Amino acid sequence: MYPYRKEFDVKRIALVLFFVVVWFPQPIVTGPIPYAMGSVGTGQLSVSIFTDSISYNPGDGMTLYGYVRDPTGSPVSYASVSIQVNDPGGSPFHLALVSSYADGRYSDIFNLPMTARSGMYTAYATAYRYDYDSGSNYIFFSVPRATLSSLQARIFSAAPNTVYFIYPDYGHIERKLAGVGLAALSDWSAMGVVYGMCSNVQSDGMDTSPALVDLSSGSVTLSGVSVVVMGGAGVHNVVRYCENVRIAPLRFSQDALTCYFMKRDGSVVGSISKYDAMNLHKDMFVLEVFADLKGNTVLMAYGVTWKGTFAAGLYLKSVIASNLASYSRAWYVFKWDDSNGDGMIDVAEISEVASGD
Amino acid sequence: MLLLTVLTIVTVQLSMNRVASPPTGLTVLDSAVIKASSNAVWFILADPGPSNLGVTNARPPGVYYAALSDWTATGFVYGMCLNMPQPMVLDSNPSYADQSNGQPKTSQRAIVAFGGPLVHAVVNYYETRRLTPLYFYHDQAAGQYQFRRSSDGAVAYGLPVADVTSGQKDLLMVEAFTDSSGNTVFIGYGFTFRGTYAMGKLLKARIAPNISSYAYSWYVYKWEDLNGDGFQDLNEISANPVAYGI
Repeated sequence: MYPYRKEFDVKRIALVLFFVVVWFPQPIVTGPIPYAMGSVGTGQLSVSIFTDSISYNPGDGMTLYGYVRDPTGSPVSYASVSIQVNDPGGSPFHLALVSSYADGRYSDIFNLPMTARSGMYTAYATAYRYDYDSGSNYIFFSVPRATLSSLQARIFSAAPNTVYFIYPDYGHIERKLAGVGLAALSDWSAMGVVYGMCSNVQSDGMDTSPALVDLSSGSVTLSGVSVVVMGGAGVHNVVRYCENVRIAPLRFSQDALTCYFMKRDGSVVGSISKYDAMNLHKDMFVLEVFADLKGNTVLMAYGVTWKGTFAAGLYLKSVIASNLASYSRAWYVFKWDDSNGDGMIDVAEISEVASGD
Repeated sequence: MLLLTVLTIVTVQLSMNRVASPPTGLTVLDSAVIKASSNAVWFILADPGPSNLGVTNARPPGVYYAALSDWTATGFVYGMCLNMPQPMVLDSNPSYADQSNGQPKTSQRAIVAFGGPLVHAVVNYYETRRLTPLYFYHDQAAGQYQFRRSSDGAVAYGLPVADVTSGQKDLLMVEAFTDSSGNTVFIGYGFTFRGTYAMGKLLKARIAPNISSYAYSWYVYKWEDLNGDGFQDLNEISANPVAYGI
């Protein structure tokens, strides 16, 4: 599918640098790029960038890909896309120049160095074509791989007060982000189960606590700890933030009839009709583990309704925990179908829909 | 003859559930629940009503639908169980509780029922028959919510109603006892959802790690929102029980 596989070596870097520095006169950046380059312009290109996984181990192969589109959303072929990947310290360690195909898609495959350090990496893409203004975008990924199986060390057996359970507040609407409402206390139920699974006493608080959450963004103020958040982006500041900045592998979306769980590139990995969910006899929920920008390990779980969120806690305790090592992916989507019609979530009524990294 | 008479009276009263079994210390939570074998513990949740559940179930007289907040406290203990699965069921499930009065349909088993008697059918069953060490009482004359001792009706501890409804204070209670069917029953709740949640957290974070020292049947703690954030922080729960007993 791909014409060649790039190797990380000095010659190629030099060649790419030549294109980037000479052909496209622009600075190498250490932060989000959105720099623009002058052109005759028939509007600005938009470029998306995605990774094939939310996290990697050193030495892993990875694919960066995305699409170049014009202001009307139509694919743009033969656009040049410069790619730069910065390590957690902000230093570039991978540069590439690729072209978009007829469908606007581009891709770049390479291996992370065996010496890749742990932390959050940023991949930038800038698309150019002579008849458009350039467009830029970026995405995060982390090293090492985050998996559900890491929960044992990161959360369940973690040292005292190194795990923070952040509940969605049911009051203090003035401290919620735009678009985030008050939670129902039902969202707390699953948190109790997970807290109960911890070997040691851990810390907790609400998503409106300035000590735990930057209330201007929803990001966690802590660093180097584990964080458990349950409840959807509609009620939880931290969940909202993680989905907005695309550090969570999945995000929630909906239209008039259907609720969706999507990967960062917009591909749907699970869906349920609103009618079914609101009837409270079916639901769908996610369990996902990822790193945030401050080196925290985040366990996030929620359903479309409170039942899905509660089911996430029950399933994690009743099924997953006893076989944790086999849950080697970063995210899982499950569905609950109330087969006996009693309205209660029985573990046997839960099944896996999809999983990925 | 006198001894025979006394034994007869006690036997009759036991059969009528009028006399409590010998005191059960909270210590047994460890063996009866946390370390229990699979399918040995019934976690009985209060029915949250049709708007939450999507199913309409009848309630025993005097028992209303619960708020889902009470489920979180149950989660703390459920999460502590070393052996899965353990049944987690509703108090409105006729296979598990008599729907006319809330009596559990089991024997020689551990039962965890968190939530107050106004919303939890099983708790209501035990409290209204004074089978629990403590029971909830609204003393309107004193303007207090109280936990009273079933043995003599004395007030174990109370709080002004205004303090509770302000959301700034609550009491939380946890108790263990053995019913006439040999079930080891654990009941816990606060006057509001705040206390019930705090009780669950207290069980997990403070009581369970030192469970062997909790030899009394019942403990009452006080929560006060010292930092005014509305959250039940562990350090806002009294370091020692404000009341306890057998």
